[in-house]
Amino acid sequence: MRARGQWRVNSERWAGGLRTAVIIPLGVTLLYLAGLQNPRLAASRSVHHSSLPTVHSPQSTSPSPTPPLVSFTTVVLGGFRGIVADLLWLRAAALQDQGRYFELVQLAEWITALEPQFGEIWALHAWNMAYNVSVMMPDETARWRWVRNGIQLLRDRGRSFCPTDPLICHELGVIYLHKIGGSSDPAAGFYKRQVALQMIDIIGPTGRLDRGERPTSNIQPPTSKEEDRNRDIGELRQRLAGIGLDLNRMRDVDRLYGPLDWRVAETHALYWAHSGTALAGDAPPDARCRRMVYHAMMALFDHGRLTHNEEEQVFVTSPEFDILPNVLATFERVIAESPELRPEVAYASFLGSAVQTSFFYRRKDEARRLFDMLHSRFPSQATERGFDAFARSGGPRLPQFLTTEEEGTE
Amino acid sequence: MTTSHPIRSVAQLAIRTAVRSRVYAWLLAATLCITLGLPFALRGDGTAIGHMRMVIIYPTAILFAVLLLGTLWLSAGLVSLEVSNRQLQSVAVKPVSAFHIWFGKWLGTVAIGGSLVAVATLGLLLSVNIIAQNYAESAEDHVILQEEILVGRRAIAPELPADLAERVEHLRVALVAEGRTPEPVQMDRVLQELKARHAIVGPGATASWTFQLPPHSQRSQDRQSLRYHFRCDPTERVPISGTWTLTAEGCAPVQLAVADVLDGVHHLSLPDSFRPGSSAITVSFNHETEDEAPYLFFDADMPVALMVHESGFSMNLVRGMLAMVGFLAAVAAVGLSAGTVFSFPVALFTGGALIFALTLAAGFSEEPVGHSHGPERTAGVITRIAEPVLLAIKHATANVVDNIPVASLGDGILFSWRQTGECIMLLLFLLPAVLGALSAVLLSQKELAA
Repeated sequence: MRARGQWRVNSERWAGGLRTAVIIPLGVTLLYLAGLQNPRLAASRSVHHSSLPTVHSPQSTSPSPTPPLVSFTTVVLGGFRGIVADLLWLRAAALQDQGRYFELVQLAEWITALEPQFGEIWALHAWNMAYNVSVMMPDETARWRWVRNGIQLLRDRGRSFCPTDPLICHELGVIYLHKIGGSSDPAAGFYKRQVALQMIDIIGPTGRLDRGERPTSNIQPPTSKEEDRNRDIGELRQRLAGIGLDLNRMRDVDRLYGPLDWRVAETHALYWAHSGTALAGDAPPDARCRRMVYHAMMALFDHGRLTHNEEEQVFVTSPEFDILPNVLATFERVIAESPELRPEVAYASFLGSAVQTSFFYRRKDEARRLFDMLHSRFPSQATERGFDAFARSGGPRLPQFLTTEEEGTE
Repeated sequence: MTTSHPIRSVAQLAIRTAVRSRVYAWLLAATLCITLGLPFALRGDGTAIGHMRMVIIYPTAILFAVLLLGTLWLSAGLVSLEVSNRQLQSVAVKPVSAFHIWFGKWLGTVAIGGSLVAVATLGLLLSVNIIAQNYAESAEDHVILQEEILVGRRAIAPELPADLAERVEHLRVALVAEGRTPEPVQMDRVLQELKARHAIVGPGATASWTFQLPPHSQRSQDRQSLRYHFRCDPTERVPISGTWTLTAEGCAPVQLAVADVLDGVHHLSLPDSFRPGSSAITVSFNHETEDEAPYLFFDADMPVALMVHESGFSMNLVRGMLAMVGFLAAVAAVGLSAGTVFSFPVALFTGGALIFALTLAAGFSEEPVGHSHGPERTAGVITRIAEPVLLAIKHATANVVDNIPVASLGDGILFSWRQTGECIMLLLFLLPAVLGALSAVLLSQKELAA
C-alpha cells in the first residue's frame, strides 16, 4: 500500500513537472508569435492615428520613444485617462479660483501628458499661465516667470508631442507678438527687456546674425582658425537649442524676411509663425501662422530696431526701415499665394502707417513712394486728400523707451 | 492564558497574512517610491516656496490615498476571505472570543499601517531636507522656506464680535423681509452672509479685527507675521494701498504701510519690537487707495490671521503622520466590520463607496444665501436625493476632514497636538471600539460553517 501511495505521489510530481515543462516553452513561443504581430499592429495603429504619440526632441530631428510616464499612464489608465485628466483639470480650476497657483505648472504638465496629442490642450494651458495667471502676480519678475512657464510648456514639451501641429507654433507666436511685444500688459516692457537680455547673452550685443556663415557673438571672440569657428557655432547652436531655436531656421528666417534683430520679441513671433507655415510641407500652410507672419512683419517695421545702451540700461525700440522691402514682398506673396486670407485690409493699414512713419522720420521719398502705392492699390477718401495731408494726419510710431525702474533678470 | 495573548496571536497572524499576500511588500514599495522618488520628480512654479509646497503636499496626499486604499483592501479581506476559505472556523473553535479575533486583526492592520507611516515620515523628512539644501545657496530663498513652509505656524483667527447672536438674528429678519431666503432659514448660512458683509471694505473705510493670543504665544520670541487675503472686483482689479495698525496693551502701536498690493494672499512680517503685554491685539486696515476706488473683499472666513511660529517642520510632520495613523485605524475598522458582514468584494466596495462619499461630500459646497444663477430649474431626482445626503455627510464629518494634515503641512501651518489628539481619540479609539463591539456581536452570531 505504502509503495503504491509513493508511486502515486511520484507520478503526480512528474505530471506537475511535465505540465511546467510544456507550459513555459508554450508561453515563450506564444509571446514570440505575439511579438511578430507587433510591427503590423503598430503600422495599423499609425494609419488610424491611434498609436502613442511619437516624441520629437527639439534638439533632434529624429523621433524618439514616448517618455515612460506617458506610456505608463496611457497603457495603465486606458480609458480612465480622460477621467483622471478631468479630475486634474477640475483641481487646476479650483486652485486657480482660490489663488493657489504653485501647482498649476505641474498639473498642466500632467494633464497634457495624459492627452498629449491634442494641441488645443497644450495651447490652452500655456495661454492660461502666460495670460491669466501672470496678471495675478504682484510684481513684474513673478509675472515674467509665468509668461515663461507658458512659453516653456509649448516650446519644450508641446512641440515634442505635437511636432506637426502648427497650433503650437502659432500659440508661441501669439505670446511673443501680443503678450510680450504688445502693450496690453503693463509689464510688457519688462518682458521685452528679458527677451532682449537673454538673446544678448546668447548671440551678442547686436542681436544680429551675419546672414552668412558665422553669427556675431560676444561669447567667443571670432578667431581665424576654422576649428575655433566651428566650435563657436556649435556652442551657439547648442545654446539656441536650449531655448527652442534652430540656428539654420533662424538664418532662413533672417534671409527671407530680415535683416532681423533677434533681441526683439516680434522676431521670435516671426520665427514661430514661419516654423508653423513650414510644417505644411507641400500642402497649403496653416492660415493662422501665415497671417501671423505678416502681422509680425508689420510690428517689426514699427519697432523692430532696438537701441541698447548697456551702461545706461536703456532699451529703445524704433521703426526698422531696412525691413520695409521684405514686408511689402511678404504681403505681395501672401496676396498671390493665399488670397483666401484677405490680407488686403492689413496691407492697406500697414501702407498707411508706413507712409506716416516714414514722413515723420524725414524719409519723404520713401513716404511718397509708399503713398503712391497705397493710393493706386487701395484708394480711399483719406488718400484723395493728397500726400501731405495724409502723411501729417496720423500719429507716427514714436520710439518706445523700455527702461523700467525695477531691475530683474531671468 | 491572559486575555492579551489571543489578541496578540491573532494580530501576529494578521501581519503574517499581509506579508504573505504581498500586500505589505507592495505598500512598502509604494511608500518608498512616493516619499523618496516622487518629490524629486515634481515641478513647482519656479519659486522655492512653490516647489517645496509641491514636495510636501503631493507625496503626503498620494501616500494618504494609497495607504487608505491599501488598508481597506487588507482589512476587508482579513475576515471575509478567512470566512470564505473556511480558515476562520479553525480559530473560532478555540477559546478565543469574536472580539479577540476582530480586535487582534484590527491591531495587526494598524501595526502594518503604522510601520508604513513611520517609513514614510523618515523618507519624507529626508527628501524635504535634500531638496531644501538646493535652495541653501540662495540665502533669500532659504530664509523664506524656513519662515513660511518648513515651519509650523499657528494661524490665529480674529475673534467673533460679542453681539454676534443679535447681529445674525437681525440679518435673518432682514433677509426674510427682503424675500432673499426661504423659511426655515439655516442660521449658519446667515452667519456666513454676515461674515461676508463685514469683510467688504470700501475706499477710505477702516476695518478692524481683534485677536486673542494664547499665553505661550505671548512669551514666544519667534517672529510673528500677519497674513491677509482679499479680492477685488475682477473688472476693476487695481493695486491697493493702505495702512495696517496693530495696537495692544504694553507696547507702542505699530503702523505698517502697504502700497500697490494686488489681490491675493499676502504676508506682512511684524517688527521684533512689537511684543504685546496683553493677550488682546487689535488689527485694523485703513483703505487709502486714492486714484481709483475699488472695494476690497476680504476672505470671509479668515480675512486676517496672526501667524505665530510654534513648531519646527519635523515635529509638525510627525504630528500629521500620527493623525494619519488614526485615519488608517478608522479605515481598518470599517474594512474589518464590512468584511464581517459581507464577502470580500462587497466589503471592499462598501468601504470604497464610503471613502468616495466622504471625499465627494468634502468638496461639496452650499449655495450662498441670496445667491442666484437666474430662474430656478427643477432639480432632478438624483440631485434631490444626493444633495441632502452629501450635505449631511459633510456636516457630520467636517471636524474629521478638517483634521487631514496635508494642506497644513504644505502651507507651514501648525498641525497641533490638540488636532492630533482629536484624531487619535476619535479615529483610533472611539470609532474602532464601537465598530469592534458591533462586529464582534455579528461575528459571534455568524454561521461560519455555511
